Amino acid sequence: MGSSNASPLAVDLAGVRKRYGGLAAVDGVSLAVAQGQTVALVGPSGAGKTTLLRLMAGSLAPDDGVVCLHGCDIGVLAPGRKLAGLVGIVAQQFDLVPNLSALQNVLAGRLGSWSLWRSLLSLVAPRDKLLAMRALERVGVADQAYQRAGLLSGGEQQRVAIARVLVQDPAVVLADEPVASLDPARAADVLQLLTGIARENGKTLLASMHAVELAMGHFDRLVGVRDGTVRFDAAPSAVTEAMLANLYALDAGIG
Amino acid sequence: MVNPSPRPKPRLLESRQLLTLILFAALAWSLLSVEWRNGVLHGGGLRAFGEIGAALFSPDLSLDALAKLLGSVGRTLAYAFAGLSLALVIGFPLGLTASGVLRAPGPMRRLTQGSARLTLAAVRSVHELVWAWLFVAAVGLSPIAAVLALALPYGGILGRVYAELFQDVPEAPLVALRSAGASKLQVFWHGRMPFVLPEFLGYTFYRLECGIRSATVLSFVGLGGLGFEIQIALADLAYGRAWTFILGLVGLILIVEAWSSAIRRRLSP
Repeated sequence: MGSSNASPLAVDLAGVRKRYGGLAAVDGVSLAVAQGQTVALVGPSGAGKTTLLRLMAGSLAPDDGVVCLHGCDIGVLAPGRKLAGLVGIVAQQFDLVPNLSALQNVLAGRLGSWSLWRSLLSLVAPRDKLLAMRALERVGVADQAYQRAGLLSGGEQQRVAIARVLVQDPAVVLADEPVASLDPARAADVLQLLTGIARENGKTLLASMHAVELAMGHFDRLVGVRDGTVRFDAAPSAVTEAMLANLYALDAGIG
Repeated sequence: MVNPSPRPKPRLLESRQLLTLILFAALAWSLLSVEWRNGVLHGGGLRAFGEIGAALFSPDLSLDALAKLLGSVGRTLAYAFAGLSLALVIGFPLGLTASGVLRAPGPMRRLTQGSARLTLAAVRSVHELVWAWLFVAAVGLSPIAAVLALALPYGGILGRVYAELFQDVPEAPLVALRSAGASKLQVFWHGRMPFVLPEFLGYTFYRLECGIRSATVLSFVGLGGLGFEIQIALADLAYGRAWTFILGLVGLILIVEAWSSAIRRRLSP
């Protein structure tokens, strides 16, 4: 990649391994992503996409190798404000607090920069409400701000989760199958929104995607992962049928 | 990642037939020890039942009885509310500690969690009536005795149930809060607490209902209130008057129940 030498890479994985029992979930992955790039990790289930994302989020420590975000080894960062400023997560779904309003769920993105008292006060009288309302407007669910999150549709919940990460404002956004539970039309909408927001704010986005066709249309770069290793790393236009067939082949890649 | 293996079946279930057999034997044995020939109820029992039943339809509605009813309802409610408020103050922090959700696993958590659980178990294993005797012996017939007698066992019960509620929250929303930089206490107040709130309030209100019934019984130890009035009326064989207070108790419970279900309806979908 032609990233400048002045600023460190947004994401820099070097020889990363992660083993569960005898199984290598991530088996020697090196990956460099420049700031502002949108990257889709594609590959069959169990390829190690989610493990890769969790390693980058710092919620999992590598057995071997180093995971750096913007020059910080996140293996040594404790959860908290610093980590929250570096990396934010949009998960599959069910990760909103169902009994809180959409607005309160979005404001949870601010928790890292609030004291306990400030956050308790905010449960009664929302703070930084304008910021949260703008985020909800950006993702198109401002009219549902006071609805309880548990009563929203799957697509709306995913939009609220995106608004939360927008308010959290991390340098790198990780999305684990962000549209897996949505129907195709809504999935395309939400992906458009996610990549669009990343681009307008100069955020780096990495998303695991099992639907390759969907990923092709929205991301700058596709990284094919299988059996914990990178099989290809290319712009969508350079990804061939043969590469995909090889990535998803039922019998290939054993051993 | 790794699915936990299904829990092994408890042994007791396998010997269910044996348990049934033992219980039936115990029942048969107890029936043998009843002296059927002399009648199960003593001679006047049935007649007294009849009189009490008839009095249900003619409760004492005199101004004096109604004024007493109002006063004793107020007193019983005051005991129940004060007792439950104090129980909440005892049960919430102890339940939170007993749940262990604020600490990382380790010897320190085992210590705090264990001692909180032990404290909760100790205070709730003694019935409120026994606590009442103890406190009356200690501080005399004072409202403080009634309130403390309610607060301790109820605090123990609330704490135990709260601990289970706090533990039983799905991880995904909490993980999301942590990744947004929330501290342990912030995860609790923004994640666990809102998640369990409907059940938390529902159970606390249910305990308030129980508290009103308990406060009624507690007044038998001479602390005043609905139970005290029922006791006096029964001693005077004024069954109609006793019914006035019993019906008052029923009304009170129904009102509290309607109140609690209205709040729960507003909170849960």
